[in-house]
Amino acid sequence: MSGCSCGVSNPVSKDYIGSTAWELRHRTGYASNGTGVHGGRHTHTFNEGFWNQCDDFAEDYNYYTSTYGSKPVDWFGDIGIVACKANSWHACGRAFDLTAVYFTDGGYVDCNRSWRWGLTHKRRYLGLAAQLRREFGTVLTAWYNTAHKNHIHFDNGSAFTVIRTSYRSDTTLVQASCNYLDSAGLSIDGVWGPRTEAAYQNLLRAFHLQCYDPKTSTWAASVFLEKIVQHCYANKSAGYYVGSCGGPT
Amino acid sequence: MSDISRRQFLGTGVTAMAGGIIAATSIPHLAFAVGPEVSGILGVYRSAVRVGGRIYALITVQGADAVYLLEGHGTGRFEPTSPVEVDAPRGFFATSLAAHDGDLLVCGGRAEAWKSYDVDDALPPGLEAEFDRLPRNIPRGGRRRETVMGSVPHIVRISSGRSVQVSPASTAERAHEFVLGAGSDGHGLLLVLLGHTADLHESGEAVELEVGTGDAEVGKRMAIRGRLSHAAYASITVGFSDAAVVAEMDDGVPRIAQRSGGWETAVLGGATRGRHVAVLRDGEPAAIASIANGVVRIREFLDPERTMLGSTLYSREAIDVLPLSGDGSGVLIVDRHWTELVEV
Ligand SMILES: [Zn+2]
Repeated sequence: MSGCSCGVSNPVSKDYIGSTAWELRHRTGYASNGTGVHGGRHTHTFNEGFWNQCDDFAEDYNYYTSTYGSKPVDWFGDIGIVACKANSWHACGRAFDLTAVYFTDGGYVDCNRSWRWGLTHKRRYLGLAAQLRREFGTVLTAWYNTAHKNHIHFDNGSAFTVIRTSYRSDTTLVQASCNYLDSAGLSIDGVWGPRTEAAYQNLLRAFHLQCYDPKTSTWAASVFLEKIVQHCYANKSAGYYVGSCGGPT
Repeated sequence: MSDISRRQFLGTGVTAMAGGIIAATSIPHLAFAVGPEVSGILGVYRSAVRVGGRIYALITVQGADAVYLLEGHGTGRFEPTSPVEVDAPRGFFATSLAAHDGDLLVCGGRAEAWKSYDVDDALPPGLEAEFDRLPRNIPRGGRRRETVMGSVPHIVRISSGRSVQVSPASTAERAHEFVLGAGSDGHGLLLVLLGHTADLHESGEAVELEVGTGDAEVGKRMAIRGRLSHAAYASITVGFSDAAVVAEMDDGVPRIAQRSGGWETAVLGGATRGRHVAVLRDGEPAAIASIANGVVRIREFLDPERTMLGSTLYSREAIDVLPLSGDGSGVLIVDRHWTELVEV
């Protein structure tokens, strides 16, 4: 199955994910600097299993933003869960369009602005996408296509899996990681060529994770993505937190 | 065809919809519109067509698609009566209804394995200690094969009560391809609107459109230029000699492409937020019906500027507007209590 028909099975109504304090707010427009303007707390209907995964994601995400960036989560912005669209996981409440995460210190990641802003914001956006990818098989960002330049789409149509070099979503995520954590200077074009492969190997070595294979091992993929998240929220270049495979050769 | 599951196409054991009616969300997402009751349960009207003077609607009730014959109650109001028996292959999903040669067509796609690859869920020695926070979503297993599902175009033709399976040609490199809509022109040619995922494999949602014929070679298809928005709507309205595709593109702007214009796209002038569909007048696509915030408006489009002159058609609490193709014209307006046929 690759999508679902219009209707939510096992529906749950929720106005938060993770902690009841982390409310969902609907984006209603944009400020002049391009960041989203969001309304007050609102309720969505989710498929229950999908909401449980969103809940796990939010708790884990808050752990990394708090531990590595001293930025506990305050609330999440969205532009919807359910939309009756052909062959889409949105049709049954198993997809989320995320617009922003705000932190208790007033800082934020804005999915319309952060990816095209300064390095700190690019890293926050990358860290958000990488942590989502640790929970969900499908995470679509601004680097993936222009339809996602103002929100990150994620769904549980496929489970968490390895880094897929033939997938534009995974390739752009790795290319962005090489650029923003390891100054690789790649064009984020979604094509996994020799330059991307070399930059990816450099990043693995900088993380001291080169003895694992994130392309075939799900556990290795998860630890590789965790390293990306840690560096993004500490706002450090690759190599600040390292694994045990030994240093770069 | 052994994989045809004989079923009434209507889900059984449905329960009352928790969460009830979900209010319209603001842009860019379309409302998850829930219409009048079907057998005591709220249903989502997806598409409607007139075949041989009868009106049929594709309605989703609790995630299960069904085709209903609509029965009129005077004053243009209709209610679903009996479901039509549709024998569809396993993995079939419906997107819309159409008419051809006096037959009812149920258009959509059929799920099919697209490719597979090996993954390893074994926890390598020493890796557990590398995590700061151990993930909860990975099994501790071994090697396994992961299958990626895709979809191919499929139409179920209901001919004299029998279901005939039609599989328009598909392009193997595309993970997902399906029929979004279809219609018969004055020469009996079936025009088909296909949505596909181009070079993207992650999501099943269409990102590009093509118009072909029901059984034509892949190469003969005409591409509609541009990529679709994430919340895209796309539909085809086929008239006697012309046809029109209306879709929202990834810059958030709705566009129209007409057969008479070689399927070149043009911005839909005067278009507002909400969904837009082309509707037939005197047998040709000549007007646009739009729905936004519960109000349906009908606008002419005048070549070449396509300036639109709007008039309010329905301003009660409309949920959706479905162009009524097949024989005749008009739109079916769905509100919370009934469906209403309005001539345009
Ligand atoms: Zn989405």
